[in-house]
Amino acid sequence: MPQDKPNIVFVLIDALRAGNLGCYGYGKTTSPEIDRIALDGVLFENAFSATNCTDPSITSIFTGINPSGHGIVHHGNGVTKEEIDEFYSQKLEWLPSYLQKAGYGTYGLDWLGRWHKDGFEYYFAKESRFELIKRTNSKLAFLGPLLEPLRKMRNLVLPSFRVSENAYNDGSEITEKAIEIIRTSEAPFFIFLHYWDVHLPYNSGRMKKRARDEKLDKEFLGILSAYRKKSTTDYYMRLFREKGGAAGLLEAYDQSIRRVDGMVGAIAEALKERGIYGKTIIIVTSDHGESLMEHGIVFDHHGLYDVSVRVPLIIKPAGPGQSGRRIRHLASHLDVFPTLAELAGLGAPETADGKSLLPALEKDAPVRELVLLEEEHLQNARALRTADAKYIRTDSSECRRCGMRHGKPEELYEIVSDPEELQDVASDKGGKLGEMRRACAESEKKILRMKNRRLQDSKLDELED
Amino acid sequence: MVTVSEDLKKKLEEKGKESGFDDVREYVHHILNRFMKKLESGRGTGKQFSEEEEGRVKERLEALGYLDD
Repeated sequence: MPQDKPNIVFVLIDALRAGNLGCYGYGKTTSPEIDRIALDGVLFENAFSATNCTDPSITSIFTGINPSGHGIVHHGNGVTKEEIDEFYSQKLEWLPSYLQKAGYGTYGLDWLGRWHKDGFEYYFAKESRFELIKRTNSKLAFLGPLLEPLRKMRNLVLPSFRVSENAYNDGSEITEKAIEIIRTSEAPFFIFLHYWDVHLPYNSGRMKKRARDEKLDKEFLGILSAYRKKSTTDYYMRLFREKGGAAGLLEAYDQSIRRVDGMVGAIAEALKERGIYGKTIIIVTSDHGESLMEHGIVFDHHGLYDVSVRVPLIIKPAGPGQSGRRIRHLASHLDVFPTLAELAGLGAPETADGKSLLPALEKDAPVRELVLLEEEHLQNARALRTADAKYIRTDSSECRRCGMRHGKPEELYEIVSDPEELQDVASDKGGKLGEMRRACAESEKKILRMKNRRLQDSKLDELED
Repeated sequence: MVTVSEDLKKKLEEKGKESGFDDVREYVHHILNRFMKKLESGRGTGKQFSEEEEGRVKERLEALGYLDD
């Protein structure tokens, strides 16, 4: 393969929290393949996403800018035309386009589409089995009431369809596509794989039945009884029954990780078979974490507690192995774009606010003192995370998904002595609270100033044109 | 009061005359006014995605448990 730039395989596993991976100290075996990649690379123990939902989070990874800076602050149907306008008006540098301009073949294995597909010469969205099933179902609509029994029969004969019908299990398909690209691509390539298997409803394929755990069930039902939105409680009660209670849901989450882990292993194997594992940067991360009943939130990703925003971040550079070094310093998803650019021997992206993690990778040197976390989709909240503390400010009166308020208007946690954020010390530590509140507000202002400057510059450019 | 360099003043006078402004202050006022209007304008890129694409994403998200939020 004639090339001087390293290939890049970017694995993003949706809703995967760091704490449930073996290499992050989980007690159960969920991730032997990812753990192996971590042993060949560098693992960031304290890495954070910029927010807690997918659309804005991936946009932050690909721009190196917080959501309030790049403009996409909501997710899915919640993204407004104004947000899209603000995003495009700023003419931000975008990781896939940046690599494409540098000569990379760019492959996006995801279905999020819209702005996410920019910069990819190949984008997976229209080829997946989900699309095929949807098309087939719409053609069979004339069968009316006969359709459901026929579908059940088909699911019995072809169980793989049952899984696919649940919409997001493209994991095996995107893995196959990635392996095909690895086997055939000549140019240096950038493959972005977005695995959705670890996202709700945790459809991980076959799973061993597990005994009900009454204590966990009671905890789950207690949390759910505080929710004030019927559609949400109905949805979770259905899942609770389908998965065999709270213990079943927890096991389904872990089993989904095992499923994706095996596929990540197959990709590493394909790189080794072609003899390019050493010439390829592999990055493994997620877009956000998941609250598995912590902080009064059942199986979802909202709130800015560490369970929802502390993400795995493993970087295996090209070249000699890194012997599984672990970095304790803070890292942010904003740093990923500048880091990959530098590892690929390209210039630093000018519009990104993040910092290259190379000083941490090479000399174990810190690159940032704090991480600003944002939530806009379901609640309006901001948080500031330093190495030893977390400040959370929730401005909205209730969560749009649960119809209730999570946490207090201001919370402060001492992370070193209380990593699970169980003891809010805001009322006892007035000095520290004030300091963190000011630092958070200053970070927010800085991001908005930078965004306004980019928007103004962009308009002045148009005027000059 | 804004102070500008001699060199910039000269350019402004020349360009102002070319555009029919005898008074350099009027010309500077005109330019700044246009710039400010541009900066204040709400017109965006008008970028839109097709209904088909938006619908496809919506179907997927519903299957992932995103309800009406």
